[in-house]
Amino acid sequence: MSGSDDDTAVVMARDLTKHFTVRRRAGRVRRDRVTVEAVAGVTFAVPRGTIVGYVGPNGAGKSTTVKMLTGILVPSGGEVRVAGLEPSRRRIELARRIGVVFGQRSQLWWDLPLADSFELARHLYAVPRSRHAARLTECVDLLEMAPFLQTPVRQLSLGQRMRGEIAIALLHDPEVLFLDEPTIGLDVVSKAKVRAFLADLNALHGTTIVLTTHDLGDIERLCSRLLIIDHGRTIFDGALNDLRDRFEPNRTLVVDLAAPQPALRIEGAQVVRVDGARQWLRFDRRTTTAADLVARVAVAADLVDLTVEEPDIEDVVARIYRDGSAAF
Amino acid sequence: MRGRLYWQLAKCGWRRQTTYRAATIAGMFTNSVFALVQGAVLVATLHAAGRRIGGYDTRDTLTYVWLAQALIGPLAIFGGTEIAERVQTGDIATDFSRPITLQGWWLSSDVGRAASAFVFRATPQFVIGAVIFTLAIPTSPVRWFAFALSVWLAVAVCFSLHFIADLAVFWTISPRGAISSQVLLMLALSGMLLPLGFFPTPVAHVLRALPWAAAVQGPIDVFLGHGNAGFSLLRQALWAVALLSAARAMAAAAHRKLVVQGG
Repeated sequence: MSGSDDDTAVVMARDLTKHFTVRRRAGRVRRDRVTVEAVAGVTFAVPRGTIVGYVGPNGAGKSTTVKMLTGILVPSGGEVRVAGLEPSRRRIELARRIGVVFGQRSQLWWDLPLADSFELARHLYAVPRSRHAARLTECVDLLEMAPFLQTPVRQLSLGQRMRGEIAIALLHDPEVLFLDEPTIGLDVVSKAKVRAFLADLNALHGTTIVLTTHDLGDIERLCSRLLIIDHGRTIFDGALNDLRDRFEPNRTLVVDLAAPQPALRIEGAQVVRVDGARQWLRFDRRTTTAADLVARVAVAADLVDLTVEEPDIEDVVARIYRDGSAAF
Repeated sequence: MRGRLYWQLAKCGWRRQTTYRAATIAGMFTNSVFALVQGAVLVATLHAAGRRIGGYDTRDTLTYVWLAQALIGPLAIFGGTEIAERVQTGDIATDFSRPITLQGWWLSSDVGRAASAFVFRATPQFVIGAVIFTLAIPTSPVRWFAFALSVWLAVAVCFSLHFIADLAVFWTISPRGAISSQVLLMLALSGMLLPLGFFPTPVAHVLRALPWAAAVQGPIDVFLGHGNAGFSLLRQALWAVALLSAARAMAAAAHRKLVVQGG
């Protein structure tokens, strides 16, 4: 871990590609071989201790990337390093140092009580008994799993099972946790529990977390950094706020006036809606600050209350998906 | 350290098998009915042929029938591993994310499953036969020991044959062809439907040299005291080693070419 330019990067991908060969019908008997580029040159580095969200529409190449990072898939080209190892070549060594949760797959023994899978994990990762016990207690407490530890996995609800999946991926205290759609199908309460747990894990143990998701709530709650991939390419890499600034510079100032009045005429803003004494003013934060605007409104009218609305992250991402890299 | 892990995996396999009591009882019932029919047919054949074929008299034949049926459970003659299914659903990805080889994981749990099936399914199954008929039961402890060893080698051989057939799904998309061919070959060539001694001698010689014989006829020969037990065990051991190595190589090749279907 010395001398390289990615000293603090625990996960690194450079020009990473993966293509699959698919046979397609091209006549009665003839089959054409078609190459599908699932990942077409992705580059990023994840510093130790961060939580990175990896998002993109279905088929964008997210899961394929995660499988290459965890050594399950062999890349077609480019370079990958996780915890200093080349994943596909040193899969087993790497597996001891990372945790993986696939939201739609299970690591647990379907027919056996949850506790049996946890006990097996101790041997699988050769964790000393006392450390395993401490870690297990922590996970059971934080994820509130005590009531169903002895229940066969097949009888658990999805939310309970998913907590089990996350726990078993963490019992060996991995440096990096990969989560592929960890909150898929979960109800609001279960989602909140999972998110709070992951945030605590990152804060307490410094575990690096890479998660793919369609749920932007996961991103807003957890991720300091966001990677957006589409058609196998990275189209955004940065903080959530940068994303808003870059793709949606407009903000909305909502003002409650003392009495209803016609749409205000304020420099640097445009009234987009009037409802009784409430008015919505849209402004470009690159040219106007909210403070200036508030001052101007206060001069023009009797101001009672105000709020600034951030653009909905869902809308922003939906637009990026729709326009693809043309958004640049 | 690794040994403990394999032991734990075997325990999980054991516990998992014991979960399905109703299936065990249903299986025993089916196998018993089949054994009664098969026994009647083979004994009739035997009597038509002058009461002896290829070293089998009536008692050996009935013993063969009940023993072969009893071994169906531990050897999982009809059921393969779940690997093909897991490849199709994409669950195989989780298997590859564990710090253990695919074969190590599945073989260990299969050994546990087989042990449980031997105790809770094969043993009562054979006892049913022994209560109804007079069967040839070994009296020598050495023979029992050799039989136990032979059954374990058969489990390894059977596991490998299933494992290889299942892994074919990595190349063929649909696993059905390879798996049904494997089950068919197993039934036809292993001595499961007809003792290999009932085949014409030159054919029997060839069949005994094939891996399927090591799966079923091997342990039965040792139990009945047919042929040289040491030689039979050696042949089984060679097949077990060859097939386990082949399966291992194949799993490695499968990993290299892995395309997890369904993303």
